[in-house]
Amino acid sequence: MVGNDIIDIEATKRSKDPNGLGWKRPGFIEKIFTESEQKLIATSKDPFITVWQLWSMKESAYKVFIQAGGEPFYNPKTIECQFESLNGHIKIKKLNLKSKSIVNQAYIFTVVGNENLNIKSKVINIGNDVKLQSKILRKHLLKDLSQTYNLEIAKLKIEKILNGIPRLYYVEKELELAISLTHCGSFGGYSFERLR
Amino acid sequence: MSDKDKMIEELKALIKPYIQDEEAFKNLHENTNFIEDLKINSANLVDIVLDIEDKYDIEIDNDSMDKMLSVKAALEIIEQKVSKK
Repeated sequence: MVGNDIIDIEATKRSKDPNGLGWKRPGFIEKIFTESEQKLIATSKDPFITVWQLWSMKESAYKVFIQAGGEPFYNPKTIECQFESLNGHIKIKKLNLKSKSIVNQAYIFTVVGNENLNIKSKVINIGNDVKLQSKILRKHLLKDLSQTYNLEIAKLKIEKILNGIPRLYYVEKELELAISLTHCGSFGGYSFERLR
Repeated sequence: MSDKDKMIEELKALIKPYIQDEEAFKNLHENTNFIEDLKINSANLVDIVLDIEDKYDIEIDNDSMDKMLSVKAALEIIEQKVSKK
């Protein structure tokens, strides 16, 4: 199982809420972060980064939870995150997961999985045309998969099943691979892992 | 316009800034899902909850928010909280 999430830093700074306050909006932090996460944010040198790193951990963990057959819900505060620098632990319902984040000036990218985190991921620039972004990202993922597993790219297909879970097919046969796709602003990221 | 249609229109005005699928937004109905259909970024769903709280002067606790994934669920929660005011 694998879940990922990307935060385009510039795009996220252009917040869409009525007063453009973003994470500083009254009530925002309290609604989605646990007490201990709120402490991490309050004492952080860069609270913006801490907020969105934590958020990307929650979002990625949620994707793993849904992939594992969990029922959709919207209650980010019940997803508990801890991290030391770029490595994290996340508890979502009964699942205990591990995370790894990349933080740079352009984006925050987090990948979440089980214990070993034997996951291959990549971040790419997918441009600004929202109609093309998903196509570009999928193309990159399929190319990588075909090279990694020596499969014919034309026979690979990604399809979304119930609850938006992406699945991978070769001709009509479902492959034993977990994949996750994410995009935000002009960045996209994909991750994949062989299931045993 | 029925009360429900009026509420859907009010809700549409609130969520407009956050949607990323214009087509699904134009065709919005009760069973429209915020994230799957309207492609709303899940972090913005918190903004929608806060906007609803401000507009109707209600408080949406986390247990109610837990189910707020569709237009229908949002309408039910608003109705329930407004009636308790």
